[in-house]
Amino acid sequence: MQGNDWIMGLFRDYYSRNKKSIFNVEKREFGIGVFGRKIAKRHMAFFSDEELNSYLSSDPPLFISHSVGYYEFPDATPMEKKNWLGSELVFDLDSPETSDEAMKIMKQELKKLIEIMKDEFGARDMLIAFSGNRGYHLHVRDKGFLPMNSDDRKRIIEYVKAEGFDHRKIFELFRKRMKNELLGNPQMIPGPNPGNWGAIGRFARKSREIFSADPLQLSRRLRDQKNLESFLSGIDEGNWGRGHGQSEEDLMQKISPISEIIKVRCDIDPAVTQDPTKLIRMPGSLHGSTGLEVKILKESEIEDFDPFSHSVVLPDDKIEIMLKEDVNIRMKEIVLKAKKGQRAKVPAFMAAYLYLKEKAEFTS
Amino acid sequence: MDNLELAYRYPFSSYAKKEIESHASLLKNEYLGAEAKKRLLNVLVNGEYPIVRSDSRETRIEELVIYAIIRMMLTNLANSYVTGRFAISFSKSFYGKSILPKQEVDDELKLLFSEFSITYEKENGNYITDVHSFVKYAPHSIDYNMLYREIRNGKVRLSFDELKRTLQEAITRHLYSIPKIETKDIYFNSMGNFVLSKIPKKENAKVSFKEGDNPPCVEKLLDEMRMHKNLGHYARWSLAVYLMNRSVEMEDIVRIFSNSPDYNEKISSYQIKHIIEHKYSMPSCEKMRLYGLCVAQCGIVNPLQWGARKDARK
Repeated sequence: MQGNDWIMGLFRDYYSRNKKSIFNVEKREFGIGVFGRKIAKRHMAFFSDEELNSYLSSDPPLFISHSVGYYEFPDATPMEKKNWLGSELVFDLDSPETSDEAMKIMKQELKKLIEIMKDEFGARDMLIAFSGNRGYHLHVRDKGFLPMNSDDRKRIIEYVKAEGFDHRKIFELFRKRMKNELLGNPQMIPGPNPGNWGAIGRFARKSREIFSADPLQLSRRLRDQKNLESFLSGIDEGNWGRGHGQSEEDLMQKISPISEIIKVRCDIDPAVTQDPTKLIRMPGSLHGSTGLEVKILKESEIEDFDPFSHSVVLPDDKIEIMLKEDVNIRMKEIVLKAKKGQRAKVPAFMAAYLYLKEKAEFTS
Repeated sequence: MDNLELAYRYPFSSYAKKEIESHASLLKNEYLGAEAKKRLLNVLVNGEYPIVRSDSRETRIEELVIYAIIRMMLTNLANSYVTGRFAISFSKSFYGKSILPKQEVDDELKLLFSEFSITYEKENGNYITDVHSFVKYAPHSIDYNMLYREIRNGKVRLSFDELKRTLQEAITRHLYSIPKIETKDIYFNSMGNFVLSKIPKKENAKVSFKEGDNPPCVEKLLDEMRMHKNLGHYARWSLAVYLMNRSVEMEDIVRIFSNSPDYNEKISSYQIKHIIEHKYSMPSCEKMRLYGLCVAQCGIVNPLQWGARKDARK
């Protein structure tokens, strides 16, 4: 098909000009995809970046993925013969849509996830990548995570998503710990303080931040600066009973929404994180559903990252297309708002994007 | 403490492996082989593994060799039920005899922790271990749920007893794992099969659920039961309550639970009878999530609603 050939020509040209370097390339299994099938062939291996680059520029695939796992014999089949050496812990964050708002939320959640992995799990060796379509990938490569099995990985994903998190349970724990101190102080509501580690500390820090910005959410009494200060300093000391004049039950109900805020709330594909043999889109490759680059990002670049500018790597020479449906799209500084059946001359990167999304076809 | 003593106390350790190398000829000793078969049969029938304590050097070596022969039989049988039952029976005797040192500062304990690459340090009366070991070895119970733990910078804070509990879990996990072998050793394989032939046959449960009859969480528990995995307390309790609410007969629930590696007919029957008599209600999906048993987002609030939802979708 002419359009498919044109796309593959663009991909070949891209890979000839842009050489890739993959961490532990010789230990990974690779899989490639074609039009209509993201993984059409797997159990491939490249023993060096040179071999990989030579393959990409001579016979470029529409999709290319590599294993999250490292193997002694990555191209051996069946899986048991590969001799598994360990797997990166990978999170695949996906958004149901590509609106600016959805992508902004996605970035916030990605940053939250990175913070948890760094501050709580002590991760230091991480690779962040735009997925090339609607989300982000986080590869955690620190040694301690490599030998984890599927159950261990499930525990981590449950933790970051705070599945089943119940703030009342934290308060129960603190009440148990402090039962002697409570004897002479019936007003005391023992709870976490911002200095606590883990999800417990995150809960206390977030509560403090929210109620110091909007104390009336909790109680009218906190309008009084003295009461507010007493409440906040109480949290700092692990006593949530000061200043607000509410019963413990009312307090528990009002702080309940914070349990939601501390979670990483976007869709994280559990199968990717839990399965140590999973294949994930190769960082730096082109995504076959968009023509966008699976761009590797520094943590400091996340905030300003614009997938429709910074991941656009295909050329900008003009091509005429005909739209198969109404579109309203911006890529780099080019905006296209057009109706189904309309013809338009657009840069090659936009033509490729719309063609791969099956929203346009070529006129010649 | 010399290597033999460490090996004898901890026959699953690298010290034991090293010691066995110097007594390799005893692995095919007829008397010790017979004793190993007798012990494995006792494990399978009664769920008991007697750990013999002795000061005699000869007895210590014999005990070590018997343990090694049993492990060789398990490796060659590659039967998850038999391995699981041995792991549970051995752990029960091992912890029952309180073989692990009780003192907090103990060189022997340090050696054991390092056997499983569990690092720890003491800080302000608490212990700090690395989060990777904790994720791997902490028991799957609410008390060890990471959400309610203090975790920072790859470290988890826990008490000495909790730290020791993670070591126990590491030992049990080790007992559950057997190396995969390409070619079976005819000698140990036939010994193992001989033991299997001596186990009284049991009746299978007469429950026939069709595919999709149960929610994914219950399917997973039933699968794990079929694979002879050792389910935790909440998992067993939830499964039993679910089956009771689906009107499965008590005898059939007991038969399903007979797949468990630590199955004891008397105890299981008593516990299931108790659940039936008290007509416990099925824990909600939220509770199942809290127990770490929820495996999918089915859009229901209680696993018992699964059937109704399935019918509604038809």
